[in-house]
Amino acid sequence: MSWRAYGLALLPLAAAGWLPWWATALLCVLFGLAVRWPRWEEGRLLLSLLIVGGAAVALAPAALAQGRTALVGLALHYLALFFVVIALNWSANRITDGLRRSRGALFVPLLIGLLAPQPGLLLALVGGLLAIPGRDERMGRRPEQPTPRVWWVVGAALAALLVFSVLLPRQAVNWAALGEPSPPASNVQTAPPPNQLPPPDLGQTPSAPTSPGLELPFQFTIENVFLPVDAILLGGLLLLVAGGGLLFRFRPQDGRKPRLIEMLMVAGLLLTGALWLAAGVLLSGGGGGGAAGAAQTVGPGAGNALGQLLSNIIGRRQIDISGFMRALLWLSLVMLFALAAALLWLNFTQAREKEGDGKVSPGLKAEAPAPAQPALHRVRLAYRQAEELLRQHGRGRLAAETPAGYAARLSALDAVLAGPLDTLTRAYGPVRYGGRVTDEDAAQAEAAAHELAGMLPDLPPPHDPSEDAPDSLSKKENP
Amino acid sequence: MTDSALSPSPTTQPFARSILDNIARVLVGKEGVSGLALAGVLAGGHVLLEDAPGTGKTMLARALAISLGLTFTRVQFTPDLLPGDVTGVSVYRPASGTFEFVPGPIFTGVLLADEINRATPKTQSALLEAMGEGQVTESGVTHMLEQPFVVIATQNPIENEGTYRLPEAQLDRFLLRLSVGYPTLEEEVRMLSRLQGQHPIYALESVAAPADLLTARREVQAIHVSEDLRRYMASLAAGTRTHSAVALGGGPRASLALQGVAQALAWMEQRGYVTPDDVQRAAPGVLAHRLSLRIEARLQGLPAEEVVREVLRSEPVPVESVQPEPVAAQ
Repeated sequence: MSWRAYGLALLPLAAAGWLPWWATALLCVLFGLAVRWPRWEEGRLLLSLLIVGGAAVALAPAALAQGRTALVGLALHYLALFFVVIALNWSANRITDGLRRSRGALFVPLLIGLLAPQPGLLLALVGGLLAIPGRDERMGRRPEQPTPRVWWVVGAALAALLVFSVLLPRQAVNWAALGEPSPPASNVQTAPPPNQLPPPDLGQTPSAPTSPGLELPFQFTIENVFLPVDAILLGGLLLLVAGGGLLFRFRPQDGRKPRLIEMLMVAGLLLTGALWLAAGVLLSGGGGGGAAGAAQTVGPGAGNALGQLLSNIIGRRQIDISGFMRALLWLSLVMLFALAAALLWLNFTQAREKEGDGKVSPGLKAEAPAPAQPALHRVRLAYRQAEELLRQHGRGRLAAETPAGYAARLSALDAVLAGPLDTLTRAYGPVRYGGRVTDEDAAQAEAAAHELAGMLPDLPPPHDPSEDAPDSLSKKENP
Repeated sequence: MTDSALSPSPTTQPFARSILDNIARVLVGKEGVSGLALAGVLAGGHVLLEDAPGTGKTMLARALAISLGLTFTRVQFTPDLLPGDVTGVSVYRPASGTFEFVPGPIFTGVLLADEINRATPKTQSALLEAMGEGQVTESGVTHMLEQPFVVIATQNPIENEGTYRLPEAQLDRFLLRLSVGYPTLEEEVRMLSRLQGQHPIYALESVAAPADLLTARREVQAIHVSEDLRRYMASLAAGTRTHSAVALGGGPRASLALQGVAQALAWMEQRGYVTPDDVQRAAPGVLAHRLSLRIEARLQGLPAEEVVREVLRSEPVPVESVQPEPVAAQ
């Protein structure tokens, strides 16, 4: 693997203006580990959520000391962070895919960084650019897959759920009083006037609460943001259920102990679900059931001089980002539902497949079909590319030839190809016909495909492979 | 397919390996056909062994039956054999004034129907119900056969005098038709050395129990077959139907048989899934005897196995870059 791939570890620096420094550093480490080990890549999203959740929890005591306004601000901040993390992960996936639109994916960290400018943004962009694989380094990456029909159904169900939650009757909430503690029911009319929220002052002084101990790196209040709090609560509950399902699936059984990464993934899910629930409760204004809002314009953290300078430059345009933030929060809500639905679906399908495998003897269980995973595509893509390379060098597979037969024929022609072909074919069979895949297989298949690609230019041109075919019908090579 | 393609290897399933090793003690150099015969039994089917006299058909059948630990009965099929001689008859008991069913030799674990084509079609047909449904109906009463029940039949394809060709319906009941083939010179020398004294078949002992076979069959049925391979197998069966030399090709039962044998071959290799190689290994034995060739092809001496091989060569294997066509036109 090229050293440039580790540039991806710099990508989280784009969000350094949104997060405490230690959380940003952890995200960088996580993204770096995901480059090295596919298992970490699979768990990257949930682990990122764990880190972000941890950051929010770490800020909570200070917010608690400041009162409800700060807590609501923190809740809004966390919901936005949720979106930021998912967007960062999406961007990382697009970049590592090595597809044509990889560079376009860098607009996401750029946007995230511009909302909270700081010097790390430049490093993040450079890292992202470095991590984009070159033409010859795409081997083994995931190809674009057509969207399965089930996701259309899941998407439609989510959309229907959201619309339903919006249509629910809700109570009007006095947002100006959001920061005040709820008075007793009998004293509502005589309650003291609520504290006024700080006026918008984009690009001037940050509107962060001033009490010591809570310095949100990026704070905002938004005017009249309409959030379906019921949907937030429902989403949080769904995520907790999904986390419980994962916890059940990863439980120790058949002598297998759960891995650390699996436990961290579950912790990330449960923490995220709990935080969404907490945010939903806070934004409901003490059970009013309505949406939340608060006013705002945004400024960077007080201690970030360069960030403040950049923000001042941008801020002179006095852009009202309330609408944008509203869209952002809605988007993060949709993503929450998508994440919860995906995990529940995963739990459901894996449980069903496990039932189907129940009749197989223990010796065969290890080889029984597993659900499709990203690594599956890596092996198949590696095989496809190796086959294409071999075809270009006059060693194409005959249409009626099996992978094992093909490998045997080529190995007989060029003994030097035998090793990598054998490795590739052995990894390919279980993935293509058995649905089974391991990270080791994927890595080996990719290495074998690379090895083949390196060998082929040095080999002499073979004689016409169709001469070996006993029948004219079999002489047709694959297109 | 060569014998070495199915030779026991370090990856062979222990149960299958012990049986194949046992058979190899009496049959030299026939690991391939032994493996396919075992696959047929594991897939829950019946096996027809067809070859010239003296090639070891009966020996293979006996060794397989003994190794599996099943009750074993051998019936020499002759022209005067009656259906009741195989299935059993109802005998009148004067003392009680009733008819009592006396089970025939078919009530066994393994029935070796030696030289099955020497019996009349009427007697041959008496096996249809037993092979297809695992039961025998006599005088309106149905008697269930013990399970597992396997018919291993042998026939000599060369000799026509005094024989009756098996009807298509009967052939279709056999999951596999295998040819043992002559041994190579080296194998024959080894065989002479090994069989110099007492024939090892008399010392052969079972290495499995009937329950093991039933368990293995359940596991075979659970072997994963990908959707592409199912389509591939159906295309192969359809390919035999549209081949220019074939009057009657393999039907849906042929596809089912192909899947079952391929699953058994995968299980024997301790794989949880079927590969195209399993299908291609199974195809000649599964499909060839189900084909009825046109008269022109028969006159040309075109063997059905060659037709199957042509279909195999024309049908694209589902590999990464290949989208299999529904049916390959011949």
